Amino acid sequence: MTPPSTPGDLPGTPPPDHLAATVPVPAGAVLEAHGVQHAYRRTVALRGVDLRVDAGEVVAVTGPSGCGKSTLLHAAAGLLVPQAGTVTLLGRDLARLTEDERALLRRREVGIVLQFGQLVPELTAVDNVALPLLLDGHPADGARRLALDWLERCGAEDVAATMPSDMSGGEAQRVAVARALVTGPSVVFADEPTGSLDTLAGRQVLGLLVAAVRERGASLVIVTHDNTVAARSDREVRLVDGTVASEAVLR
Amino acid sequence: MCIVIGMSTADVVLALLSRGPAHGYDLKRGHDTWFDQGRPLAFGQVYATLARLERDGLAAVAHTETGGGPERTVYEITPAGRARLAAWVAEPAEPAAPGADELIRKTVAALRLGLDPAGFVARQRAAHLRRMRALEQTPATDPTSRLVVEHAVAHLDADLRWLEVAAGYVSTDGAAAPVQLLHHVAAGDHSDDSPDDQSDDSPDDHSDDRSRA
Ligand SMILES: Nc1ncnc2c1ncn2[C@@H]1O[C@H](COP(=O)(O)OP(=O)(O)OP(=O)(O)O)[C@@H](O)[C@H]1O
Ligand SMILES: [Mg+2]
Repeated sequence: MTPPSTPGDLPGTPPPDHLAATVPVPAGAVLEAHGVQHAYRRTVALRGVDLRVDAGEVVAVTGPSGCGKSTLLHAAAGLLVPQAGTVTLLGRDLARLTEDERALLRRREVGIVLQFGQLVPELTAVDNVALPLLLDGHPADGARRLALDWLERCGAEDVAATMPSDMSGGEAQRVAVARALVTGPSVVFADEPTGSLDTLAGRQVLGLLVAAVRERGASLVIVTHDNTVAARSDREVRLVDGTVASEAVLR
Repeated sequence: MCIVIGMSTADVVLALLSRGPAHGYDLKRGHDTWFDQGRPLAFGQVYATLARLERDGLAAVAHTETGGGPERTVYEITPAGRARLAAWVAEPAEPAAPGADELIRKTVAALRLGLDPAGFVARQRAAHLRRMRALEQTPATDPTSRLVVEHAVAHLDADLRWLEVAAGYVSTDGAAAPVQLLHHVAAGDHSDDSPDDQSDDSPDDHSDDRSRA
């Protein structure tokens, strides 16, 4: 199957270099996090974590529940600004961007699949997937066509017209994966859905995500509890209690 | 790599023979197709097995082929052989006994002696993940041979979960409670109950107590 075209093929696409690079991209690295620390009110979630992801690399972040995986993923994707440390994503020092600039960077160059349901409840699957394109001013019919392509590719074409409340956990996750990929991002961050999916269905969706990212030569940071998912990565970074306990190169 | 451990060759040869008369080479090929991730069956073993089956009345010589090449003896299964095959499949396999595994021996030694147990667990984890990755990339010839690969993957996964439990027992002085580790294996308990659980009152959160004990 040929991959759907990226929004670059649509008319009216703004140039991708809309954000000034405040830091040069380190050779080969799409993400460089240094000494990232973050605490919630009573809990220290990250105690100084380094994470580097090279272009085209698939990195699995694993570790026991509560070890800080989601916090690290959110910091790396610019959803959260950590209390200490630096995160350089695609050459931008995230702490130096405004909230709006971070949102724009995420929408245009990053794909994100979150741990808990994050589809817009008022929109059908196809509109959820088309949303990042529509927000960027792409013509609606082109955006919907591309969204449908990706839904099909993710095995979710049957729910294209369905509202999130009427989808199974697995269907919603497929839609979320389609939405993360529709803009042709160079980096994808995915937090494994927990609870909503049985193991096999979850593996299938994540397997699909890994394959799609590899085909594009994009980079992926995937948080997972599932060893078989971690085994599909190029490198495993294991967190324990907010620090990197071990790293393993698998390829 | 030998995935099929402790598989009785005689029973498999009998199973292959139950599909119809066959000579030694057919049986070897049949075996290697069924267990394509495992060790190929040696010719010598096929013939030794056939001789044993014949002696025990489970297989018999059907005829001898003399088509141009060397003579080939074709064997067939006997009614007693069919009964034995049915009984073999009907009987559940003995679940693997705990404690007899190199992984467990090394883990217990690393924990008991404090020989860099955290490093040991991390290296073992990496080795298991790499093997799992290689297996996942193995092209499947048919659904049943995929099933054999999945058995190996599931075992690696079980080992990895058990290693997580072991990692939770690692303390600064390396002393731990390996006896309880073995209980984990014996109970087949690979559930996600690592002692790293955040809650203060978690029943599993006694890693400090263990190291002091
Ligand atoms: N919004 C929050 N407010 C307060 N504490 C939080 C918040 N989010 C996370 N935490 C705490 O921070 C720690 C790290 O949480 P995080 O969600 O990063 O863990 P995780 O590794 O993703 O866990 P899981 O595997 O269960 O998803 C945990 O102790 C958690 O309880
Ligand atoms: Mg999480």
